[in-house]
Amino acid sequence: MDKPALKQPILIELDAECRQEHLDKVEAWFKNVQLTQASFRQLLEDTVDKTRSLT
Amino acid sequence: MPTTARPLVDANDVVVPDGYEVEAVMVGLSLPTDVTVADDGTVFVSEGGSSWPTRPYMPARVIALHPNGEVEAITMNVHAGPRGITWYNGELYMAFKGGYHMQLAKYNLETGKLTILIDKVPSGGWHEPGGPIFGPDGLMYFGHGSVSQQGVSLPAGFTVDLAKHPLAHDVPGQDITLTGNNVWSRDPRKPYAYLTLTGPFKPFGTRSEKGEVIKGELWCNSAVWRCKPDGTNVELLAWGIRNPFGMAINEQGELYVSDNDFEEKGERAVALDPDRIWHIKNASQPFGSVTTPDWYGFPDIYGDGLPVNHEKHLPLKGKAAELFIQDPPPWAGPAAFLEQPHSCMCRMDFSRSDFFGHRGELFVTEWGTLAPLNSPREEDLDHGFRVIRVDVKEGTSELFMHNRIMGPASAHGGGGIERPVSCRFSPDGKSLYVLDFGVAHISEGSMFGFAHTGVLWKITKKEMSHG
Repeated sequence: MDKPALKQPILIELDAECRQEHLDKVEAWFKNVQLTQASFRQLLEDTVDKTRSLT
Repeated sequence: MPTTARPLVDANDVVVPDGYEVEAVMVGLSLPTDVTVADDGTVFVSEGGSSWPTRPYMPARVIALHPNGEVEAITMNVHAGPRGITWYNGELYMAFKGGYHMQLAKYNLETGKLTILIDKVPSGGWHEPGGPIFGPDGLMYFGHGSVSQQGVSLPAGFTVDLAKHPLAHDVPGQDITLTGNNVWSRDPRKPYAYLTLTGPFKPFGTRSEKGEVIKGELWCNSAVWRCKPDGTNVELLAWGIRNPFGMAINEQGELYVSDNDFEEKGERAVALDPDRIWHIKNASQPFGSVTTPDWYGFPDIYGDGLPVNHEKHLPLKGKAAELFIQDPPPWAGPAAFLEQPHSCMCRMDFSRSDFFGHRGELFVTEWGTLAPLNSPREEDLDHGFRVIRVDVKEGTSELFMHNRIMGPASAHGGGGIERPVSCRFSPDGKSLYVLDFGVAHISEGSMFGFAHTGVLWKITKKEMSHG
């Protein structure tokens, strides 16, 4: 983090390298969310088929 | 700015009274929660962080801005987020939230030693720690809001809090008898649309019985305490305060806390409840002498003193609230100050400086409304998003900091303030630091907070020219 110029705000991790790191982390998180949701959906579909076979 | 949610930060879009100037000091903060200033002028800002799977990971840390302009990030390897921070006697005192218990800790910057002082306040739900702050008596004052949003653990809080802490619940500060009123809701633990009953002061899905007695505890929530700086000799001063997030003590040693109103939605909806500031009268009693805490009304009394089932407060949205406590304790109101519903008054500080002015008045940040998420009323859409100064003796307020166009900057494309969450005077009395949480977009069904959009503002009284 750099020393500030007078009356200039300090930017906290807003440089290009940090921004890319943040975006990469969020992308990984979104992929994890997608995987979790897809797994749940598959589980639900499998359960529905089993329920139908019992009726 | 590279952050698309907040592309512009411009102090020229912020209005403060004549004789004061405002500047942005730090930009790009993530979910900031509090600011404090050391005697040497070092400014500390806490970032709440996030380790919950429902959000991308963010580190919990404290950012220090030293007087020479150097910035350092202090990470403490804790599994909770710092919410309140205060500098006292050369150490950084903090409140952590993130588990079944709120923790109070102190951190020594020279040695890097983190000492947990208290680890017993029941937490793990919706509302936040208050403080810690220190009074002129050298005692540490702190608080914690309710686990529940509306007096009973419900699915609205389940997406983030109760899913992680399914056994969390409110705890009273005095023995109470329940009316037996329970609340029906869906049960998000089940794969289908099952319903369940939940009672007050119970974990989600546990019903209460009429006449059931719940024992009051020292370690309750919706409460305010004080203790020695090492965390010993804890004394419960008050309970029944929904969310005592802001706490401030004036030069006379009088303690005031902010408190946020009920929401007008869901299975126990409450309408037109004012935000409020309570005078905690027990704080003026000698240390160790308080045998009975005062009760400020949660979960059954509005900020204006009416019961939650009063016809004046029937909701337009959601199911109307019923009373939970039979033969409640005496109400410790009225409030020292009432504010528009959903202004979301947050942290605050008293001016102690003749130079800065308004000495003895309470400067209060207003994070701003969560409507239309928590209220269906159009008039609630622009409440908050500003800093006010309050005369706590008269119960009146004046605007102190706001945008040229009222409301958050993101609503109209300006570069001004978004959501003020904390403020603190510098020890030299020349400046007021205002911490801006950053951008949070609200819809009828959701809220999105944007990391890297927080700003620390500084308001300084202009020096008089004598030439």
